[in-house]
Amino acid sequence: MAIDLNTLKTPGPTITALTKPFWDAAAEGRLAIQHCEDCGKAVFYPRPICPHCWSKRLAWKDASGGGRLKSFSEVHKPGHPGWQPAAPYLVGLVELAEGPTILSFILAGTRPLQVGDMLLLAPTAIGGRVLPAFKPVEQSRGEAAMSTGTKDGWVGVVKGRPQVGAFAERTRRTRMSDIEAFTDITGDRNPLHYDRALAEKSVFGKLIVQGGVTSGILNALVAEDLPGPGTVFLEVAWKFVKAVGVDEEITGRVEVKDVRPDKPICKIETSVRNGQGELCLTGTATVFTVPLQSA
Amino acid sequence: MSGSKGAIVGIGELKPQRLTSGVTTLEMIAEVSRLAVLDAGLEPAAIDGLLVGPQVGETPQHVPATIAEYLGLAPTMANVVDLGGASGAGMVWRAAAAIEAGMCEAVLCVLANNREETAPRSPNRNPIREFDVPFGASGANISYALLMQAHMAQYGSTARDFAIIAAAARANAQLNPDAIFFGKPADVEAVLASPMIASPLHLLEIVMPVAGGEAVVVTSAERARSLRKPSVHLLGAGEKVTHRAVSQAPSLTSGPLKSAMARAFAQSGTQAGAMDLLSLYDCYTIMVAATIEDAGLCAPGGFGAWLNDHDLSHKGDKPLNTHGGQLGFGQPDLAGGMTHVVEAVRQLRGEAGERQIDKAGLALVTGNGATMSEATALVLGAA
Repeated sequence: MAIDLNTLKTPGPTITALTKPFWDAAAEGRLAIQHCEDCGKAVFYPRPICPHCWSKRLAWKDASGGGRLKSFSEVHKPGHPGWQPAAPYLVGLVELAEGPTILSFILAGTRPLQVGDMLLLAPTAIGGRVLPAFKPVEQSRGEAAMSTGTKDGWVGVVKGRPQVGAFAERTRRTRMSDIEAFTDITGDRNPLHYDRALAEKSVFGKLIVQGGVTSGILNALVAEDLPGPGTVFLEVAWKFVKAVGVDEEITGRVEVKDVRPDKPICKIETSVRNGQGELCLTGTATVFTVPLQSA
Repeated sequence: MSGSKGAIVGIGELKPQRLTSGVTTLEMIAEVSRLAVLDAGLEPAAIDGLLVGPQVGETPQHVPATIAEYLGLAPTMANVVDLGGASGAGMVWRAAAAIEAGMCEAVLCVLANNREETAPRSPNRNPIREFDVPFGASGANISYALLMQAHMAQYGSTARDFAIIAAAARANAQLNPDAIFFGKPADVEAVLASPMIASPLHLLEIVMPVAGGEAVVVTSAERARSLRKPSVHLLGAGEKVTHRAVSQAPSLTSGPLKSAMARAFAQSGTQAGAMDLLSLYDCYTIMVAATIEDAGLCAPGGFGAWLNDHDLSHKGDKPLNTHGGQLGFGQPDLAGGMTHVVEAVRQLRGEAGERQIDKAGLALVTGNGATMSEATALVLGAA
């Protein structure tokens, strides 16, 4: 970009006492976001109460600076005239590694931007103030492995080496036939899955599917989506925090937390939520991805 | 009619204009209210309920009282509905609910706006102003561009798929002499050749802001029987509000209309495929695409193929926005959402003239506010 972004006459933030720590950190080149000390979730934009659990115990922490591009736009006709000299420029929705999404200015990289690109915090002076902008991570997978001097353990893996922060989701609706299929496989004929009257009088208040049906969506996620074909579970640590009934929509999610460079092994965060967004299963897993393609 | 929650018995609409000069919003509200009450065949004194929008230019507070006084009404129920483009549809079920609650008998729902050459910018002070604007994202265009880009990335939908929606709206507007783009058709190629505003959004995929006004009168199903025009019944409604800033959206490709429409279908015992008219809120092409998918007319990501399989004109198998939609008619600010209600009433009464659809029994009306944030859905039925 030919123009100096810092000379733009763009509108600045409308800072309040509550939001000041965010902007003070930004001025120092940091991205500070709130974390809830009760529910553990990260919060953006700043609020006096946690929007997830309404706790007031919110603490400021510096974000890792890593993120993933959820969407972007090249703006040709800005909404504010102060931006016109910079047009076309890029804005994007950045899903921070901590969870929340922030809208930010994106610095152009050497390749065209794509949804899903991994991004890094790139503090940039715009309109007379330093803003927490982002830039694409430029290293390709191969370069990353070579620069560390170790052999790439992900050679031959169908979908390649996953990136930390990458995630995938799948949604399906549970059916009575799921329960019957699971019984065929395992012999589990627990009355909670078949005796409606009894199940409705139980703590669950409804017929529920076997836990294996709930967690099964995660098998599909790792094997089909992320890390993809060839993936098997090495270790899982799951809590089943809410039962899933019959004919309920469930959404499974996996997110990559740690990737071994030398072997096709990664640690993932896993969850399954119901149609109301309530957590049904939560935990972590370690997975191994068999290289199915010859190198 | 069994299952009726109330009836729309009067409609009013002002022809949209690019600019007004020296006309106040209050004056326009009075004009369009008169049209709706005359159409209903009611005396003004019969109006005892009033629902208005929040943006009455010259009046920031006490909006219902200001409008009631101006119109000479003394309503026993008065309120502001502030759901952006969903306000019009949101008024209809609130009117029916207020009548059902015994608060009033005939409710005027009205939205209008003037449009002067130099409109003052409102001094916003909210999270969008603080956390989006400084990064270069002001206004709805960029927010909807982000939704559109996400849809393309997730499902592989193409610029052409979206352009079909804008071209179909322009085509339908050629049968509506009041539409701002009457006499100005634009085909898919023209949409794709129009300037890029915020990628991947082209100029002709964005509504044209205009001045205008829309009003409807709602009363009970029983009272409707004694009035002169065929009544149009509210059979089901749904609403959901999920966020304001696009960064806070729970999904970029599916919106709160999904749950609002599901409730409206459940209340009315209908489903999307049974609708004779789709009167879908269309501020941008992506909004129609997401609504077609959220309604269950096709699978997520499948709107492009669905559009290719159907004829969206008044003679087609899936008439969509026969008045031209806001993309063809123009967007008179919040009243833009009400155009979808007014057109559905015209069609269900059989009063749509040259663009009348053959079988007009059921209509789906949607409203949408902010960035796929505020959603209202109505299922309307002919008498």
